[in-house]
Amino acid sequence: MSELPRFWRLWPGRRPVRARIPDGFIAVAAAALSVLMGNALAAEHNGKPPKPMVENAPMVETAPKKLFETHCGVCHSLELPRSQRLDRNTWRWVMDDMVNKFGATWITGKQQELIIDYLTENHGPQSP
Amino acid sequence: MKKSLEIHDQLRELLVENGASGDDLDRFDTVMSRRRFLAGLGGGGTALSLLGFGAGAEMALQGLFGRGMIPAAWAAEAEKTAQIEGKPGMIVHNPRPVNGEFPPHLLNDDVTPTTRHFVRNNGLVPQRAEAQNPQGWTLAIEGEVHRPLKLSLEDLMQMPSATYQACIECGGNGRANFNPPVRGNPWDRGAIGCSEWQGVRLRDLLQRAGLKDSAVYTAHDGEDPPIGSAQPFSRGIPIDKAMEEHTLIAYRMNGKPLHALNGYPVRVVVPGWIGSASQKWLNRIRIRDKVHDSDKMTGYSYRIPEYPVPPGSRPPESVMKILTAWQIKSLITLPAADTKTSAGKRMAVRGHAWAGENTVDRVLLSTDYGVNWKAAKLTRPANKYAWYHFDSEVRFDQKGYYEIWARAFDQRGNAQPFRQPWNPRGYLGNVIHRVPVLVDV
Repeated sequence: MSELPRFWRLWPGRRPVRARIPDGFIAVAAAALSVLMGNALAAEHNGKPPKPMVENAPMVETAPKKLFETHCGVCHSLELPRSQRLDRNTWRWVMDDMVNKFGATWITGKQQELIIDYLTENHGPQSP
Repeated sequence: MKKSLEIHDQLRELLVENGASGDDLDRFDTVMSRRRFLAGLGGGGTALSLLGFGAGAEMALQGLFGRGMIPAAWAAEAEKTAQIEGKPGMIVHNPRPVNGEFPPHLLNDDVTPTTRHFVRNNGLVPQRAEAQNPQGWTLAIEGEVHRPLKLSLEDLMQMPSATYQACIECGGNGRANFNPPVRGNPWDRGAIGCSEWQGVRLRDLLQRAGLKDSAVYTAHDGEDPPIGSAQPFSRGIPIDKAMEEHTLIAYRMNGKPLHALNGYPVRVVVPGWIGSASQKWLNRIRIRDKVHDSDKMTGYSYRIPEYPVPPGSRPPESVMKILTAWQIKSLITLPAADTKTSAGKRMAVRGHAWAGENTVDRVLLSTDYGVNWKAAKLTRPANKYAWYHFDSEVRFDQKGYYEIWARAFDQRGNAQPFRQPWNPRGYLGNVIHRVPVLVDV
């Protein structure tokens, strides 16, 4: 935590409005949030022992439920997907639209498959 | 605590540096001050998960901060309470973007009060709408016209106006009744309202601008910021419908400036057609020399196959056609579902019927699963495209579980179906409305 001020010193200062996200932002956000949260996230991570938060390598979450919440929750609330009861093909269709039309291009192919698996299993036609 | 406050300030500064709007800063402050931000995290909330992006994090955040927005996950908690003011009792399908409807029994009024008019958004609510601030707003009419126009709200309000009751109904209203289920907001039956709208006839504006012979279609643009990197929401209508006298550029709803969630300061009202034609937060109409071809006019959005397809299938895009008018439909607004009564007691039944470009001919009611029917009393609408109202009385002689069914017919003889015909995105749902009643049970 004592590292925090140093991140902020690395911050390049005033930028033009609507500038790109500067390098190092993630580390800043990670550090800021980890101060707020302590090790809660790490502890929650699949029951594995908490990993130390490293400045330039924020933890990559791989549990399907977390992937769904993380990536889908960026743009819209999760109530909508949770209200759906769709088969695999339709979830694939939705995912394709989110990536191709709504710009969720950061979700890797592997992550997409894991999210589709999760949604099909938990929000499929037979789900309560 | 002191440390968190510092971080709050630092994050806030970061947002300012990246051009966050005042609106988003307010949301950020709300979230941070209420600590909902933190509270939500432990319960699997999404804010913390920003940390989990890994290699894609920068791209994800760039799309948001680069446009001066804070991530949805951070804003959602604040918006849950902040944005849905003035709509008590609304069933919220989704807080971001805000989408909500009212249960049928809350839609009993002849003219839908603003507080009970549904909300369907593809994008976010513009800051101007929330602040009810007309400063700087203009409406541009351009494209295939001889004299492009740019009008202030005052300019618009000085033109001759018309006032109509008009049904606006989301094209997906009824989607929850599709089987197999389809994607999209699960509207049941309440994504419709028939409020009173005042505004300038679109045809007056188009005549003032002078349509060129090449004019074929309108394209409506609004101020609502899109979500993610979606194309800004835009749809349009054929020139004939634009020139129809009930098509309005509306600035009053039920005698007042428009509610923020219903399109302040100005929206299009295309009565009888699917709601997406009635662009909210309007600031530009482009007259096009071909059918409007935005994202929401093409593909599977607001389109249905030109022939019936097997339920659950996905026909090729080439057979999808643009949705226009609604079709015959009715809604029982009294009694509410699962109302309890006693044998031999009379029970009032009431509701509305509407028919897109057609007229309602009759509404029949049944309390025995369609074996016997009787006609309800039908009241004519205030004007074309407004709701018809139906009234009747029923009585149950024996205890048991009953359903009141309503079935409307248009002047062509088209009636509501008993089973919901299926299309891939769940549009134009008009299966008959069934209201359960419990008699001495």
